[in-house]
Amino acid sequence: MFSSKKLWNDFWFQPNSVQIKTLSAFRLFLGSVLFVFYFIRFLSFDTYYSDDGFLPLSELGKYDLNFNYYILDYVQMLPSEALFYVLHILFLILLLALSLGLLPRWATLLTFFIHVLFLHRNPLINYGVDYYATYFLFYLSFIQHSQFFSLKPKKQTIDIFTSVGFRLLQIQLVVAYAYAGFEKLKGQTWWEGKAVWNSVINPQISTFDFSWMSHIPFVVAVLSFMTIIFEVYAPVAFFSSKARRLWLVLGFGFHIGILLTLNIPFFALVMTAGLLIFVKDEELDQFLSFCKARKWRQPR
Amino acid sequence: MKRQKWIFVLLNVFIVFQLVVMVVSPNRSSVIYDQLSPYFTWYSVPLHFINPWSFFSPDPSVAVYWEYSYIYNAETWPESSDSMYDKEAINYSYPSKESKIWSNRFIRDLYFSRYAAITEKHFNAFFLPWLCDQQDHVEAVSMVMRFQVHPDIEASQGVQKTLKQAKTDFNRYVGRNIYSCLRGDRDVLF
Repeated sequence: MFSSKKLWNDFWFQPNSVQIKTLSAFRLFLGSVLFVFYFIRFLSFDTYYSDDGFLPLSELGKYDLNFNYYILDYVQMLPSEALFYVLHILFLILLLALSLGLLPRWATLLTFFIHVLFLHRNPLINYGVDYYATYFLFYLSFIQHSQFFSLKPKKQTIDIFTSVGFRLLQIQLVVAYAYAGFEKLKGQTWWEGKAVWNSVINPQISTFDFSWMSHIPFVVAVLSFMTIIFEVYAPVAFFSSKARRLWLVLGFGFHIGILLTLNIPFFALVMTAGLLIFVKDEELDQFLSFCKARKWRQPR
Repeated sequence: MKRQKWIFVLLNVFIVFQLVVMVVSPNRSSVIYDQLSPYFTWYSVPLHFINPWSFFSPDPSVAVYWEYSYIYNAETWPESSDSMYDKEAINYSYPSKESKIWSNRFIRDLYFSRYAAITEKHFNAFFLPWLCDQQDHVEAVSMVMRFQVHPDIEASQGVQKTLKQAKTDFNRYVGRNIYSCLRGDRDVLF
């Protein structure tokens, strides 16, 4: 008979199950995408975060999120626009260091706190990438993420914090997928198999003219239903030894499809990075040797 | 050894707590959220662990634009400048009508226009002041919200409806109003 305590401990605290190389790849991919993404945000700093922009600090109290937003006092304690400007530059430096594998865990946690501060400073411009970055940066701050693909690779014994961070990352991602799937089940167009059409025909978010898809309604319906099935069953499939690979293929296909069809490329890239945490180290090795792209130094 | 044991216990407590936040906080309409949220919002709100994960749901949204033109103050309009009436005839769109492929700025503009229009309070507090501040000598903004509904997939079969056609065929206009830009008097004028 299985001991539930042993199962729990093996799941959360077993260093052997941690895929340290794919975690490093995840850090490299995520850090690079976030660096570019937030560098672009920085180019519009005045519009997003200055008192002449979308949301002057003095007006932040009027933002209504249906619950007590007591973080407000904390954000307003930083009175100076110049301070936010400096913090954003520091944030970019930290993200660059993260992608290069130069950031220790405490500094990853600092990156997370600065990120959250900017989310609170202007909640009117945040979207999916910002939300996923919050969770990913937080969990990365538990993890020894610079053992591979780093300018300064450090060979360390995997500790229990890394193991916990790795598992939390995995569970967070599947919970987010499941909620996204359940929310879609409430929608009539998802039930009718027309939701993908409604997404790609929206000129505000589609990359190109996809009106030709009206000639293949069956494919549109299959894609719509596949989206729901992928998301709803993600919590089971990604932890199943039989279904994991299939779900990874579906997941990468799903997010690359979003990258090509919808005007949210950074969202697609961050989610693609997220899927890496379900890839095993040996699978990553196979992929890398296939690509012959091993330019980074190995740990000594 | 004792220290390690305490770290282990604390980590277990943290894991359970984080799992509760992760699973319960996205569903703010549930009874479980009502019961448990007082115990974790002190943590989840400041750290922004509050996302409902409702992407493209319950249904994908339609395209929404704010179309507007400015009404200038004739008394403060500089004589040496271009004709005030020519400027008033210019129609603007927010976000811009041209969808910019892979433009990060466009998506943030889009979200700003949506969040800022969620409630009248947001509209008056954020969106209208920002629009008014984009130009000098502005007295009011004439504005209408344009929805571009989706052409039905079945109706589009064989008709070869392009997005260009859809732009004209599927427009719906809501709530044309003139809003005052004067500070402290930002109500609808007409």
